[in-house]
Amino acid sequence: MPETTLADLAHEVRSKNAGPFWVTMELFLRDADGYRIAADESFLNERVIAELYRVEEGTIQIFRIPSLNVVKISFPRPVSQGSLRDRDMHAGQHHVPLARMPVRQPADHDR
Amino acid sequence: MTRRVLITTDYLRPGDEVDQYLRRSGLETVHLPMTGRRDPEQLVAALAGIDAALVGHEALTADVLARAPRLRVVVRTGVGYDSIDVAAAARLGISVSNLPGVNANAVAEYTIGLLLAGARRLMQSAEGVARGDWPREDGHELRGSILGLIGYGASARAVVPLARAFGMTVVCTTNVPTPLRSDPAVRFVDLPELLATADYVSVHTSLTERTRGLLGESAFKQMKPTALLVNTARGAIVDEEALAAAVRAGEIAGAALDVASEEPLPPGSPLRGVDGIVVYSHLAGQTAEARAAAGRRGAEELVAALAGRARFVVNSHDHQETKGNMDNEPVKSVRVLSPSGMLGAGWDHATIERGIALGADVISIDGGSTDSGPYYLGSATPKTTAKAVARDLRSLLTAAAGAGIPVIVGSCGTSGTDSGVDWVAGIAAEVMASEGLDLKVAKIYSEQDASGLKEHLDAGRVHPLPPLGPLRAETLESCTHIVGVMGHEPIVAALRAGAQLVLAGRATDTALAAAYPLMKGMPAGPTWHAAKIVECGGQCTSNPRAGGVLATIDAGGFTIEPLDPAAACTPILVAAHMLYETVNPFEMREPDGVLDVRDARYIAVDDRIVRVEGSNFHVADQYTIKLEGTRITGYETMSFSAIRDPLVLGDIDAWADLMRAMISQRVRHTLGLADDEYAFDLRLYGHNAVLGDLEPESGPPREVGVMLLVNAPDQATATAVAKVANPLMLHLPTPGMDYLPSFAFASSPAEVERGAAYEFVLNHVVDCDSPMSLFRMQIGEKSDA
Repeated sequence: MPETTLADLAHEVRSKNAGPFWVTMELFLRDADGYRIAADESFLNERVIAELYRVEEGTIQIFRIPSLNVVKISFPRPVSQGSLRDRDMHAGQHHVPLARMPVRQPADHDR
Repeated sequence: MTRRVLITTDYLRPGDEVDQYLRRSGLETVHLPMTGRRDPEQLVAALAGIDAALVGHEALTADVLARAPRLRVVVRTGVGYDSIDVAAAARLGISVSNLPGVNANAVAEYTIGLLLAGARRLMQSAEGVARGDWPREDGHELRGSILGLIGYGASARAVVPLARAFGMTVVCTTNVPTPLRSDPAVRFVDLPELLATADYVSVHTSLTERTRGLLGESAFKQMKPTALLVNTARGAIVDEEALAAAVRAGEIAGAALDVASEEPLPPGSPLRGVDGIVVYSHLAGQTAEARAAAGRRGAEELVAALAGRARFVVNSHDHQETKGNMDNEPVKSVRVLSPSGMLGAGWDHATIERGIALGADVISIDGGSTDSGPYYLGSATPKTTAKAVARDLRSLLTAAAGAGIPVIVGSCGTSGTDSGVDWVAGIAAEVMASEGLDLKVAKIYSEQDASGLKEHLDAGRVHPLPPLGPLRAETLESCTHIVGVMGHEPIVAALRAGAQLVLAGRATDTALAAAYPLMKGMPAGPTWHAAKIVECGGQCTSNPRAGGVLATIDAGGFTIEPLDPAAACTPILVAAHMLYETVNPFEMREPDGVLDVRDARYIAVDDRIVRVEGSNFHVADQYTIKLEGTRITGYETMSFSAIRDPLVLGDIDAWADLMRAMISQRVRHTLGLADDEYAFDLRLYGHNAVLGDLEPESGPPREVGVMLLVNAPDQATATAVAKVANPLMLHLPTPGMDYLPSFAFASSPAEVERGAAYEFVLNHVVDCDSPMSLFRMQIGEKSDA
């Protein structure tokens, strides 16, 4: 059986520049169950994001917003916008490693 | 046909930086330096076949201009343009530009030099010693004295902080509009008061028919007998006969003149032989630094003007005075119409008409962003095409003029550079002309020069924002363009001055929508929150492509509804917009404080309108302006090939490693370049180009696009590296292959020169005493000084 990923629990996962020096990404979870999984600090935290995106743990900001079923993650852009090694000018495709993260337990609602 | 440029500025030479820039821009250059008096016939002959001229103090009379049939553009490598008949040029369709402020710092420092030389009688002392005497006369200190500035252009503004540092009090008389008189360190007075109170009167205005002979017999009678006149502007502003008589009669103490009505000073000048009058040889603006900047900026202006994007035209007839329709009466609510997230994006005009019908009080729209990368600020080039901007302005200006409401456009020209403001202003002028509209236009410029910012840096007023560290002066100097991101205050000043169309340089996205409600007394919390929600037009609706939104702000909060009747705003959509392109979804910093939406409540009014209450705004202890700046990292050349052969794709990473090693080796052998003398990025599109090492998937791809992007200190080197790599991009086998494959180049030639590559280097704020101090405004007619 294929693993359940964060993308499966969300109706949208997106990333974007927040100014030239930061990238921000959001998980819009489908419901409170999905939110509980994604917002669980023992599952998704600064250390996990630091490994996933190879950035400094201390620079990562995570916002958990239950009223919107949203988890938002911001960190300084590892590659400055428009530089020779920047392959994603708007940082619009950098949500994929986050979206593909397997969740520890499958969502218990019907899929 | 190649266009030809005549260069007469005496310090510009064939092969110099300016010459190279113009040639790189596809222009042919002809140098004819003006070293002394010029025979007009020689100039006419030189202008034959010339399309554009970069000139020093060349006398371009109506006759000379009329006999230059191809001439379309004249750029002065300086500030004053009294040597050019600009009215005749306008009639002949020749645009004339100057470079305002290019030598402002040079003039300001020299002015202080003249003040000191006059106050301490430096010349008289040195001359006495040279004569064999030993003068022992007392001088005066500048501290505690009053400096009167006539004119408030760039030079005068640059004098102010220097004079203040010497402990002087500064008064100024000027015709620039009141909103521009923003410096709390300056008291603005009329000319009689200035003459009566100043210990030093310094002239910084341009020579026009109004200012010719401005300082004559009656002016000197009004001045203090101890006063010193300083002139670094133009000689003819002073009546020289009257000055000589006034100094001889003891009506004023003396004069330090860098300029004379006739230069070089003729033997019979009345200024000669008067004790107390010292004449210098017109050197105030002449420094190596100012010259370098004038040559470079002049050439840029010339290229821009030839492309129809002149930034500093002095003879346009675009703007007519019109009566303003603004008032400052208190109101209960304000409706802000936001048509779209960006000028040039396009919309259905019916949505604008609907917003007007719903009672819109103001239309605000963003003209740019940093989001598309550093190129647009770096090169001062708009991202949008002029026709799209014209289409959108036509929609807004016709609707707004009909309703009698103002239109506010921010971050004009994508990055908000001065040329971006003028670019949008030019398009707006064309739209208004074709629509028979006559709106009063305010242009607010936000571009910053490095030297001004260095003063702030030295004074400890510049602070980094994470993730950047402290700013270094060299970083400022390396920038091609720097803009300050303005708050709502300069926009409010423009509205109060009666502007019906405000074209702002770089501004916070939110300041555009917040300005009018704040001017009308709406509370800051709901206003800034509404401004954030509407900044992207319909992004906060169920159908972002269907058009913009209308926000109604009142004392208790705001409501928001889509302009398209079929679209809806829901509490979730509106709340979620605080997440969009922000680091922190609860707090947003503006120049004067922080919007805080932690306690905001989002309530559905009906199925498509949302009300928001509980937004707060905390005023900051320090007013700050954020800076954005870009520098050139090098020049890039791109090459693109593609691989479909499964044998190569089977171990594409090994192939790419070999490619990198081979490029490095061949470039070293062929071009003699070490690895650190250029850089390249090899991207495997279809494999892992976008995410690189972060790519989670593995397995052989079906086909791969191979992009080679080379960055080198100059374009020729970048292209040479790409050309050395060309045979490898065509034929490089995998390590185990014993024959040469041929890959699929996408185009011929395979190499594409990308020109300069840029990066953002500023993410800093400046502590400002005044919201206006970094910005300059022009309303209606061009201000004269």
